[in-house]
Formats: sequence, C-alpha cells, structure tokens
Amino acid sequence: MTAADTAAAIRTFAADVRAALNDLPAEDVEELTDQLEADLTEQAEDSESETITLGDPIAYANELRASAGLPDRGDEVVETRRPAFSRLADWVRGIGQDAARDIRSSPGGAKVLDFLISLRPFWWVLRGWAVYQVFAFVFSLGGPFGVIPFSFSRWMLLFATVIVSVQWGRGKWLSWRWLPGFRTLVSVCAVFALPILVAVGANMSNPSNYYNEYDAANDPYAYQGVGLTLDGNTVSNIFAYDSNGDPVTNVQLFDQHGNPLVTVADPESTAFTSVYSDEDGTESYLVPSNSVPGRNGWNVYPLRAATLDNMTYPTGSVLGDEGVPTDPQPATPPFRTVQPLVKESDSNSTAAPTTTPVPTDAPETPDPSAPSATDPATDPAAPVTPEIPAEPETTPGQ
Amino acid sequence: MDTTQLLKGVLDVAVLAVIQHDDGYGYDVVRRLRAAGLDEVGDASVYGTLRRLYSAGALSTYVVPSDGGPHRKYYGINAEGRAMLASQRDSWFQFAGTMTQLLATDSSPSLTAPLPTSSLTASPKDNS
Repeated sequence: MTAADTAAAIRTFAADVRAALNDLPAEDVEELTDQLEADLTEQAEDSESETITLGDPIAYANELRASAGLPDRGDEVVETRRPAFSRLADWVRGIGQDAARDIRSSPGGAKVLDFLISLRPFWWVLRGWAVYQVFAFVFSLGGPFGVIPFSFSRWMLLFATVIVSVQWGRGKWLSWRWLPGFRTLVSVCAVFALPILVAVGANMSNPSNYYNEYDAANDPYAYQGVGLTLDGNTVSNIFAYDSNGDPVTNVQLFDQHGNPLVTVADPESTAFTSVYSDEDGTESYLVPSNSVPGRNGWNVYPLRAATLDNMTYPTGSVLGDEGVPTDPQPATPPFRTVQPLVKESDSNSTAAPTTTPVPTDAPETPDPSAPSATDPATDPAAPVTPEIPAEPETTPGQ
Repeated sequence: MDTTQLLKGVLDVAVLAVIQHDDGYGYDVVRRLRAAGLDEVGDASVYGTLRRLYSAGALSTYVVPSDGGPHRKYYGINAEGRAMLASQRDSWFQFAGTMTQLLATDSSPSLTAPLPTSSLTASPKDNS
C-alpha cells in the first residue's frame, strides 16, 4: 500500500514538474524528465523513511531548468495562455531588468538607480494624479482642466486614484490575474499622458495663453496681453471728433494718472501692432506717431495704418524676421463725421456733454502728479502742428 | 557558508569526475556524489547538469533496458568531456590552492614579512 501511495505521489509530482516546464519545447521536457519517475522511485527506495519527501514541484522544476541552462519560465510558449496585459507586463519588466542590469554595471549608475528607486512613491502618486486627470477629462467631457481638483467629487476621485496607484506600487490590490498586467498598461499610459498633462497644466498658469482669452474681461492677468479693452474687447485705435463732429488727428491722450493712454501692452518695445479688418479679415498694421520727441507716440490718436504691401525688411534680416511697416497712412475712421455738439449756451440740460470736451483743462490737473506728461502736453503744441496740415487731407480723402 | 552556493560552480566538474571511469544513470550519479560527501547536492541539479553536459557534447548517452523496472538512460564521458574535466580540474586546483593560501591562518605573517626588508633596504639609500 505504501509503495502504491509512493508511486502515486511520484506520478503526481512528476506531472506537476512537467507542467511547470511546459513552456519549454517538448523534447527538452522529455529529455529532462523522462527518467524522473524512475529516479524518484529509486530515491524513495534509498531513503529510510517510508514516505518520500518530494518537496515543491515548481522549485524542483526551476532547479532542473537552471542547472540544465534553460531559460527561466517567462514569455515564450506560455504567452498564448496568459492575458495580453501580462505579456505587456513581462515585456516591460524585461526591458526594465535589462536596463537595470546595464545601469548597475557602473557604480555611478547604481547610485543613480538607487536614488530613483527611492523616488518610486512619488511616481505612484503622480500616476494616480495622471489617472485622475484622464478620468476627469473623460467624465466631464473635456471640461475645465485643473491641476488641483476644484470640486468635492473631483477630490474624491483624486483620492481614489492615488490610493489605488500607491497600493499597486506596494504590490497590493492585485489579486486578479490580469491586474499586474493592467497596472503596467496604466503605468505606460501614464508615462505618455504625463508630459501632455504637465504641458497643459503649465499653460494654465501662464497668463498669456489662449485659455485666458475666453475670459479676458474677468481675468485679472489678461491685461498683460491686451493693451486697452472696452467691455473685454480689444481697443486697437481711438478716433476723436471735435465739437463740429469732424475728425481730429494727433490727439494725445493720458489717463487719470497722467500715463499715456496706449492700446499696446508694451509701448516701449512695440514697433507696430497687427489688426484684422472685421469686414474682410485683411491684416493691417498700426504704427505709433513719430512726432513725439523723446518718447514713442503710441498715445497719439488716431494711430496711423500701414498695409502688408508696405512692410520692409531691413537689409541683413533673415527669414522669419519681422518686417517694419513703412509709409503709414492715416487710419480710416469709423465715421467720416459725427453729430456736432450743441453750443453750451443753447441748452442748459446738455451743458454737461460740452463740459466734458473741456479736458483742455484736464492736462493741467495731472500736472503736479506727473510732470513728464505735462511736458509733451503743453510744450509740443508746436511739434504737433506740423502734422495738422495732413489732417484736412484726411477728412476729404477718407 | 552555504555549500549549495559553492556547489553550483563546481557541479559540472564533480559530475564529470564521478562518471569518468564508470558510466551512470541519473540517480546513480546523484548517489555517487552523495557518497563522495556532497550530501547537499540536489537531484534536480544533477539531472539538469547531466542534460546540459550532454547538450554541450561532453557526454554520450545510451539506454539500457532493465529487467524488472523501467529502462535506464546511462551517461558516459567522451573525449570532449575528458578534455573538459582535465581543464576544469586544473582550474580547480589552481583556485583551491589560491583560496587555501588566502585563508590559511599563518598567511598574514608571511605577507607582512617582506615589508620590513624593503623598508630596511630603502633606509640606507636615504642615508647615502
């Protein structure tokens, strides 16, 4: 009876060993194990005890395999029986192990690798964050992107993804057979998604990106990209009309602090600005007046316009250099004339509008606060005059 | 020290040695190695080693039908195996000699001995 039990145990054990070797070619398995039952039986006969201690068939198979110089059980024949995720995991792990071996061959590489390994928890959190962003994107159908969640439900989602990612990193919560492979798939996707997510996140914090232009009126940073706005719309040029309703040129404007009122963000370094016609979308350029001594003339209105045909490229410029608009013409005003104002004496109710154009006095008020503004305002009455002769030409011409 | 680790490096030459005079089958080889004092040798390691040496061309094999039990596959050493055994035997003796010398208790005095003589020869030169 004992002999029969032993024989049965040996048969089972040998079958288990063969099963553990089934990734190898059949002839290799045959050569390694065709004597297995005979050897084990003989070994059982040799041992004093009645029952043979056979041990772990998988460990036995691995010992056979290793001593025979055969490859470890891995990724060849068994592949077909395993989930695709596991094959991906094996493949990625293989690459990782090869790379780790190469890196560890140098002492410096080993130190760097050890350092990076200590950063793995950071990677787990980052992976959770990436999964959260993808989830958030999918379920909110491309709603607003936030580096940090902006709602309670999103916080919950982020917590869940980070916890799962960290647990996976610790080798937990992987009980299902396909989960380790799935984890690898998630990691690979996270690796590809992170640069995009980080780029989008960085773009969010950059005030001059196009995201903010949707909200330019409410965004406190938007003014950096827009010089002058009216109800959120960019003001590119300003046209003044005198009390008779006729256009006025070379009007110098200042704000309440005496700062030049300009339509561009950075007047000192801006040579011209591009505008697009509302009617046909053609591009033209607005250039500042050059009649203000010692300062650019961005606050002298209306700004003059130049067309694309009038761009010149300085000698020595390379492809991609910006051209400089030349021969600017007076810009087309929105109205040839506007309604003339009523005389102050004509009506007492409309007295207020007439007092408004009085701002001739206004430059005197900012006088003490900003002396620099006053100098061009009072003094360059003369330099402005030479350009005035051009004005009559403007009105009939346009 | 874990002798199974040591055994891994010398199992080839051990197997070749125990069948150099007498062919043997798998468990027979295991038995000879254990009888020689390598108690910890794993039978699976021996079977794998036999298979690998056969693949490497160091062993020949033939099947002997047994009267009572199953047939037996015997391994025998061939010319290539003998050359391998000779080469590995030399390597072993050289290695074992080096290790023996290194681990011998009285090796430290003999190593420190040359140092005083060199310092003695150096000091006269300094004086002159």
